[in-house]
Amino acid sequence: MSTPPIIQLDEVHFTYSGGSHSALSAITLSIQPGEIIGIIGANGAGKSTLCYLLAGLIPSFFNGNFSGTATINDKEIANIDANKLPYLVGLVLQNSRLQLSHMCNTVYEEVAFGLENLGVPREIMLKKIDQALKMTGISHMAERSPYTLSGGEQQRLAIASILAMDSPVLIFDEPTSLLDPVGRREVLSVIMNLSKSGHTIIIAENHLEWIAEYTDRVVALEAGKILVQGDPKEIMSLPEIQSSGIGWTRFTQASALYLEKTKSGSPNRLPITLEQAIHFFQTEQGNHGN
Amino acid sequence: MEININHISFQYPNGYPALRDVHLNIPSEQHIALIGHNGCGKTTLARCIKGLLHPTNGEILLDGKSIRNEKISSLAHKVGFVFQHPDDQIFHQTVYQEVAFGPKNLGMSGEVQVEKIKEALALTGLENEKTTHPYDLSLSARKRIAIASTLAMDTDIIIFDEPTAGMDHKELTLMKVIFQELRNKKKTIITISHDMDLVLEQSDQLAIMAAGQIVKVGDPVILFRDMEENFSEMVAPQMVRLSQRVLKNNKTAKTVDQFVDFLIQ
Ligand SMILES: Nc1ncnc2c1ncn2[C@@H]1O[C@H](COP(=O)(O)OP(=O)(O)OP(=O)(O)O)[C@@H](O)[C@H]1O
Ligand SMILES: [Mg+2]
Repeated sequence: MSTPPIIQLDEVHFTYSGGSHSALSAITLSIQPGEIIGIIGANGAGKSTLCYLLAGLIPSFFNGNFSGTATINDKEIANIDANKLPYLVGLVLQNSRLQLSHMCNTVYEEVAFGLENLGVPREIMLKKIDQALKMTGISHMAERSPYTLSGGEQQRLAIASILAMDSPVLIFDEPTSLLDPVGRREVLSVIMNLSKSGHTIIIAENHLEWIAEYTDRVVALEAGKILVQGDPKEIMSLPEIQSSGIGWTRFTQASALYLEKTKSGSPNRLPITLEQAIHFFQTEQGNHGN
Repeated sequence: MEININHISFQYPNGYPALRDVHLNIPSEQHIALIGHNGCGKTTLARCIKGLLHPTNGEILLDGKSIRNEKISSLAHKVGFVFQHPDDQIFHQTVYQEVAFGPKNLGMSGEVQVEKIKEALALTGLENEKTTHPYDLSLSARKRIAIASTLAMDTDIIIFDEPTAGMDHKELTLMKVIFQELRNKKKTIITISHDMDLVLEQSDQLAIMAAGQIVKVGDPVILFRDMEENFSEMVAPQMVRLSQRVLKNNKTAKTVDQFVDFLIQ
C-alpha cells in the first residue's frame, strides 16, 4: 500500500519486570489507517500486552524490559506525553471495572470525564457524549450511578467512555465478553463502522466467528510471538490455529469431523464462516450423492 | 434439589423493579440456562436464590421449603454461586486459601476438605497455582478460582453467572468437563450465559428473561430453532444456523458431533 502505516512495530520484545518469559517477542507488524485488525490467541499468548503497548501503557503503567521500536504516526509510543495519548489512541480494557474513574456519580459524568480532560469545546463535547451513549445503548441510564449497573451495562459504559474521546486509533481488549448477543452485534457493528470514518480498529477477541466475519486482517499470537497473520476467512481454519489453543469455529470443527468420519480427502481449506460451511457441505453432499 | 420460584418480585432501593412476578420451576438434577438482554434481571434472580437479596413479593422454595427465613449461613450448604465478576468473591492471599475458605466454613471434616479442594483445583486446572496470589493471575484464571471455590463446597445447587466470559478454548473445554462432572453428581445447575453455543450444548432447559420477567421456558433446541428472524444473524448458536441451512426435515443439532451424525446417517 502507498499510504504510510499509522502503527509500525519492529522486532518488539517485552518482558514484564519479575516475569520469567517474554510476553511479546519479535513482533513486527504494520497497520494501515482505517484497517480493522483482529488479535486472537489463547489466554496468556500476549493479546492484552500487545494492546497495552499500542495504547502507550508500556512502560508508564507496566514496567519491564522493552526492546525494538513501536511507533504511532512515526512517533515512538513510549515517548508520547500521557496527556497527548488520547489524541492518538484509546483503549477499552478487558476488565471494565478498571476503566471507571472512581470520580463520577453518574454514567453521564463518567463518559464526560475523559473528554473534559482533553479540553474539548463544550458543544462538541455534549455531542460526543450523546453519540457514545447511543452507540452503546445506554442513553436511558445516563443519570444512574456507574456502580449499580449490571455486568453488561458496565461494559457498555467502559466502551462509551472511550468512544466519546474519538481517538483515531481505537483498541478493544475483549470488549463484548459480557454483552448479550444482540447487544454484541449492535456494539460491534458500531465499532466496525468507525473504520469507515477513518478510525483504525484493533480488537482482541475470543469470539472467533466475529473476528472471521468482520476484521480485515487477523494476527494470531502464540506465546508472545506472531504465529500467523492474514485474511481471517482464509487462515482461521489452519491446524496451527487449533493446536495453539485458539481453537476453531464450530463450522470448521464440523467440517473436519465430517471429513474424518467419511474418510474423504481433505479440501485445500476447511470452512470458517457460516457461508463457507454451507458451501462446503453442499459440495460434499453433492459429491456423495445423498 | 428442586427449586420453586414462586411469583417473586424485587425492587432495588432506587425503586427499579428488576424482577416482576417471576415464576419458574427447576426440577432436581436439571441443568437450566438463563438467558436475556443486559439488565433483564438474571443476576438479580440469582442473588435472590442465593439469599443475598430478599424478594419484595413471593417466595423461593428449595425442596418445598421456603428460604425466606433461612440464614445465609445455612443456605450456603445448599446453594453455591459463582459471581459474574470474580473479584466480588476473592479475598485471600493464595489460590489454595481462597478455595479452602468455603469448605472450612461449612464445617467439613479435615479429610473431606482436603479431598474437595484437591478435586476442585484439578477440575479448574489450578493444581499448579496453589500458592499463587489470585491477583497475580489473569481475569479468566480468577474466574476459575471463583468456580473452584464454589465446587469445593459441594452444594446441591450451583449457580454460574457468566462462567465462560473471557475464557479461551482450553478453558471452555475445562468448563464442559466440569458440567459433566456436576451432572454425574446429580447437582441442580443454573447457568446464566450470553454464550448461546454453550447454552445449547449444555442445558436441558432454557429460560428466556426480558425486562424482569421470564418470557419463555422450554427445550433449548426448539426455542432456538423457532426464535424470530432478527435473532438469527450471528446471534443464534452456530449449530442451529448451520442445521437450518444444511440439514433436511427441520433437524437441528445441539453439538458438532450430533450435526455430523445427522448428516451422514
Ligand atoms: N444496586 C442496584 N440499584 C439499582 N438498580 C440496579 C442495581 N443493580 C442492578 N440494577 C438494575 O437492575 C436491572 C437488572 O440487573 P441485573 O444485574 O440482574 O441484570 P442482568 O440480567 O444480570 O444483566 P447482565 O447480562 O448485564 O449481567 C438492571 O437494569 C440494572 O441496572
Ligand atoms: Mg448479570
